[in-house]
Amino acid sequence: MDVSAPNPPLDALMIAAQAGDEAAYRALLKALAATLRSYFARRLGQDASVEDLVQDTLIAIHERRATYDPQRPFAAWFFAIARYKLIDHLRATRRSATSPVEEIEDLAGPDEETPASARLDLERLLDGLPQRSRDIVRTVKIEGQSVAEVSLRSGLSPIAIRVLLHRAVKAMSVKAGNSRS
Amino acid sequence: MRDGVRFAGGQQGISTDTLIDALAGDLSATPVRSVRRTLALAFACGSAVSAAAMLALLGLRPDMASALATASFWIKLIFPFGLAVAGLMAVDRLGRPGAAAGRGYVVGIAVAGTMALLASIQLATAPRDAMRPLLLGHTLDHCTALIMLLALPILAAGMYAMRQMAPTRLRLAGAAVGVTAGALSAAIYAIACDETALPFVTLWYGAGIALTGVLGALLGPRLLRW
Repeated sequence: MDVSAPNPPLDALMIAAQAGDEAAYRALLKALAATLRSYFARRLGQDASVEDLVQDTLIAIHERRATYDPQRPFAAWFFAIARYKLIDHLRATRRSATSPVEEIEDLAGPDEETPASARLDLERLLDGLPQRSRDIVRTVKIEGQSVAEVSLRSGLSPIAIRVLLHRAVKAMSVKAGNSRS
Repeated sequence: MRDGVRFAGGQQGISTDTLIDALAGDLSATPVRSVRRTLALAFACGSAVSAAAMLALLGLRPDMASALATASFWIKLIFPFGLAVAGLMAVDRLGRPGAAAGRGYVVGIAVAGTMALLASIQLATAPRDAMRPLLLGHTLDHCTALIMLLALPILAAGMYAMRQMAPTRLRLAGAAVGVTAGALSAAIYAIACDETALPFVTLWYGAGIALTGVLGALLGPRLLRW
């Protein structure tokens, strides 16, 4: 997708989103996700981390949306964020020999390690997280409760939980990658 | 809804469509001015702490009343203040992805150039044996260090504000925060300092501001990642 294409003009969608228009924002994020997917895939190949990077970038865009100045071109803002996230990702993966996403899957995969040692590794990785994130990872990812359940019980919004989850898994992947390289 | 979140699954985490729904549901109107308000507030708070520290540690210059009538007092104030304005312009731009510091550089170079010109004129028109005191003053042993020390609260507040933004060139963004903090600190220090020579101010205030900028550049990549 060409971001500078006038139909729909992404600048206008973003400005509407900044004003609180949810439908415009949803359309914008959908278009951006597709653009990001091809942007990252072109540079990383068919790497498992592409979708992770897409999500990470969408969350960054969401959290930092106030830094878009409506008087400037949206594409420049958007691609600067995409590029920043790509470089950040490359820097992090160059430190560890293998992709962190694969590491975390190895770690939890039943045929790679005995369940006991996998659980030990898991506890070690969980220990590095803040209390709240640790609880969320436990309940959602290990005990298998839904985000909605956790949201009801903790009083946090579903989005807050998803963002915390996403970050926690990323932090754990980085830690897993670093300790093995 | 389970969202397919399983720790050991082939697919890691939640699906992008689910994430988009969640993000869209979380949308609230975003005042575009909020970024500048945060910046202004942070630098104002940092400066207030620094000014309080200056009053507590150093006090006003002893000849404050008579100094108000001298040009050097106001130049000493306007020079760092001009650099602070340039720094703030750069901070506002460098905190936004895809924007260059642009006019901040121009204003900064203009202010520093004007100050260097004024200092050179004073130096060139002075008698030969007055040159040394014009350059070295009598507070050389602590001037630059105190400016850097008083800049620390402002640097901390500025870094905090920059962390709310989205800098993509962390070293440059850190340097801009550092120069702004150093310049505001120098303006505050000027009220406590009774040096009058412009060459002294240009060199040693300039050094304090520049070194705080270097400190910011060193801290940037560490503190500003997001």
